[in-house]
Amino acid sequence: MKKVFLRGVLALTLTFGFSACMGREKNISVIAREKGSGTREAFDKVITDGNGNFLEMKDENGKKAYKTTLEAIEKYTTGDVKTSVGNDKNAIGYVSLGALDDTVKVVTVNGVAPNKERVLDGSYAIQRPFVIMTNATVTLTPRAADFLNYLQSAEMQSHAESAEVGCIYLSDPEKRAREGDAPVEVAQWANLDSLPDGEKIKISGSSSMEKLAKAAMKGYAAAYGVDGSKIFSEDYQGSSVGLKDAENDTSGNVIALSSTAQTSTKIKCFNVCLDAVAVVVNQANTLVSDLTIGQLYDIYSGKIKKFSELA
Amino acid sequence: MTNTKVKEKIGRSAFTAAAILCIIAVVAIFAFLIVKSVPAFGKIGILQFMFGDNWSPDRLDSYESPLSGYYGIFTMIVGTVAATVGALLIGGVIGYFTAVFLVFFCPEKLKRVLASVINLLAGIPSVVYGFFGVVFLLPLLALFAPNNGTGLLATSIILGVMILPTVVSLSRTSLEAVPRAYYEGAVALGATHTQAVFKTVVPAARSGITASLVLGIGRALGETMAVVMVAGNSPAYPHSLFNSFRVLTANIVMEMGYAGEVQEGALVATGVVLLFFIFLVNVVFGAVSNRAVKTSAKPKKERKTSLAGVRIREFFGNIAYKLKAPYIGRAAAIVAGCFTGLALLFVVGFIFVKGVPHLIGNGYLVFGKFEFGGSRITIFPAIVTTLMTVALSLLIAVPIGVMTAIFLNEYARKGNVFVRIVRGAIDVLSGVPSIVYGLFGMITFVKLFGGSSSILSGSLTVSIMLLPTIVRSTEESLKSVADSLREGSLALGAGKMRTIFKVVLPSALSGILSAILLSMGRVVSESAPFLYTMGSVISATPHSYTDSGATLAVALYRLAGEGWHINEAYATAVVLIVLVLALNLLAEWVAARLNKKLTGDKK
Repeated sequence: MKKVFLRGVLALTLTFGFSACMGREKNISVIAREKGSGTREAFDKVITDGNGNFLEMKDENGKKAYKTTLEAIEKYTTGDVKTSVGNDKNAIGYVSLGALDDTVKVVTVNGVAPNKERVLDGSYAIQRPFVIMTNATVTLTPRAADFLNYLQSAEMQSHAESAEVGCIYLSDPEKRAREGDAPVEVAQWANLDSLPDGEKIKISGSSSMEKLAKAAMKGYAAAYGVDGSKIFSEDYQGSSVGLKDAENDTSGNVIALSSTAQTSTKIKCFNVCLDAVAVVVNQANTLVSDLTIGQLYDIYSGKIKKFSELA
Repeated sequence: MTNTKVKEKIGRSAFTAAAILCIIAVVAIFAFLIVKSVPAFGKIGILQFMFGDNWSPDRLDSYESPLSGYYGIFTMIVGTVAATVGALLIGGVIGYFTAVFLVFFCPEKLKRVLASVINLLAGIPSVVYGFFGVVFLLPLLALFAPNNGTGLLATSIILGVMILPTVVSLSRTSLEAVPRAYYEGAVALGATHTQAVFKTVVPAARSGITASLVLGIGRALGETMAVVMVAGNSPAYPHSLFNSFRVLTANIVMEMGYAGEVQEGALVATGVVLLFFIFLVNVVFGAVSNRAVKTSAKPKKERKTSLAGVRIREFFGNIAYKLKAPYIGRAAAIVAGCFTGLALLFVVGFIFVKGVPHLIGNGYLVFGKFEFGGSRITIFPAIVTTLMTVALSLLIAVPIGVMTAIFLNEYARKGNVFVRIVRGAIDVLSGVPSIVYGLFGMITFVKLFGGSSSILSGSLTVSIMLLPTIVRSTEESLKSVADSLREGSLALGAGKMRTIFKVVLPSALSGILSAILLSMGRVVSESAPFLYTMGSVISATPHSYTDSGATLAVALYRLAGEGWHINEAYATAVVLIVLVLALNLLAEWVAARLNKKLTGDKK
């Protein structure tokens, strides 16, 4: 008798508990990148509540303050973010424009979609430059110099705008220059009779620029009819690593990538492209198609916990 | 005559030199940790660092200017402790009951199968566990979790399964070491089998079992990759079963790639704090095993208890009697045993079912030639990288390890200070978590070779990590060579060197061989030490040791993380598991042959 009673109670608790959990709308899974990621920096510095608070800001003591909720899940690659958002109906995340595909749904921000015109005219606010860096003092090897010239040339336009890469090519010399530097013209590049001498060119830096760099390397290698893996070595451990590698370059064969503006005087640099950071949700999410910057701040700072609270 | 003397001297000094190298490795790691972390501790403030719960690093922070970031790791310390306790509750309890099941309740035939299944569980790379967590456990937990399943529960389950083999194999050894007379005595007094097991044998093995749990804790503390994949990693307290939190090891692996000057120091300091915890655990382990020796030697004192104490004990004793505690224990043991066996079959089975079709259907994946800028994935370069790493790291670690073992077993006098230092150094090396080796390699070897990651740097890093395994198992097999063989050889006029190379080493060969095979398995399955020393880009087949590359385990980590090639990730996981399991099986077989040969010699 007792046993039957106990079993009944257990079964009831389980079913009720379970159905209660199943039926309730779940909290938003806020997916962020790790601190230090260029994507996160671009996102955090734009998203504000309108009262002077940004997701990344200085606090009253002039020290770093991150407002992203501690409930957020930190992922440390773009692909990780996409997988998480793609598998979770309640997730929201942000990825580089070039990484978009149909596994996730893009949300417009303040009514503006992240496309070429809107990024170039600045109306899509969450954007950042793709920067190519070299050491300021060392002389590049003939091969690295030729490749740098290629990166500065109009050849890059087709690579940048290909479906695979999908970032926004910059042709305006003013916009190509770092703030305070002289304008950077689009260079002339024609392939020489043969591949110039030099060791392997070391490509290092931002993982967001991996696809752009790969497309450029492939195009360059094809122009000389050589195997790309024989002339390049690659490493995408982040913008800061790229910066360090360019600063410490003594052999003149480092070409580094950064997806955030760099102020170091030990490097020469130019902006090759603009990238937008797109806000993404799950394909099955019908509640959200547009968010204001303020709403994004509320979601990312943990003020809004459920999508239904947005309405 | 003089010729032999010179030879003896050279031999002796070579063996000593190998032992000194082991000490140098430890000193180098500690010097590096101290040099890198002391400025950070000083700049941030030890208390601020340990007990601050705001981790907001600024990568532009330098030692010259005032800090703009906050560097407090207290949330991660709490996270690490919570995950470890969780792992212990799951893996420790199940492991304990599994060991009891294996020794006392398991049919003889099943026993052998189950024991080797559990040994194999130990060989599965941690990335595979993490991958399994991402593709199976998280979606399952998401069914009833308020979030996507990320958090303390998922982490504890994965870690719990990972520490199972450690707990089971050590508890089993200590249960088997309890004299048969204990059991027989209990049965003779009228106890049933179950009562005898739980009331006499298990209590007698208690300290051994505790020791196994302590070792399990050590393993859980140092684990990196699997945890990173399921914990969520935001620097928050784990305030519920399902919220994003971060452990110490994850802090290192998440931020190393981006770290600026002070941040790098803070991450090394995180490694120091982690080592401190592991050191604490080892001290406890030492104390527990010492107590084990003492308690078995001395009879226990009668403990004085107050009347209330007796009452309370009687009360609980009655409940326990009514609930038939030993019988529940028996049921638990049987359930746990089955669970452990099934857990492995399930992890491996799930990945095989998902991966094998893609492996068979996609020949390009394994044997393809890398296409520069192509969109198809091939892991052939990763296989080559893995083989190159295995070859070089063994080439470095095996001679040093074996020679150190020879020094310890054949030359050293017991209790010598130098010997104690060498042994201590090896114990320390085996306690250092793999991510700390990765940090060390990144900041020393990688910088030394011009700042870019290479297979050379990765191999050097991992070869230090292999030393303890090789030294210990070689020493074990040297010990098992009967002294009469040595004496016989010396009596016939052979020198010490000749005795070692012609008599001792050949007899110990299969032990050494199995140590080598186990080390190979270790290199194949590790990923944390390689991420920042060897590179993690799946690219062209490497041509030399200065190229960078990703080993299979790192490639799996990348593929699982990217999410574009999940099928290829499953297939890579299958290749990885097969490789590691094959190496482990081979090692077991070699070791079994050794045992047969040794017992055969005695007969």
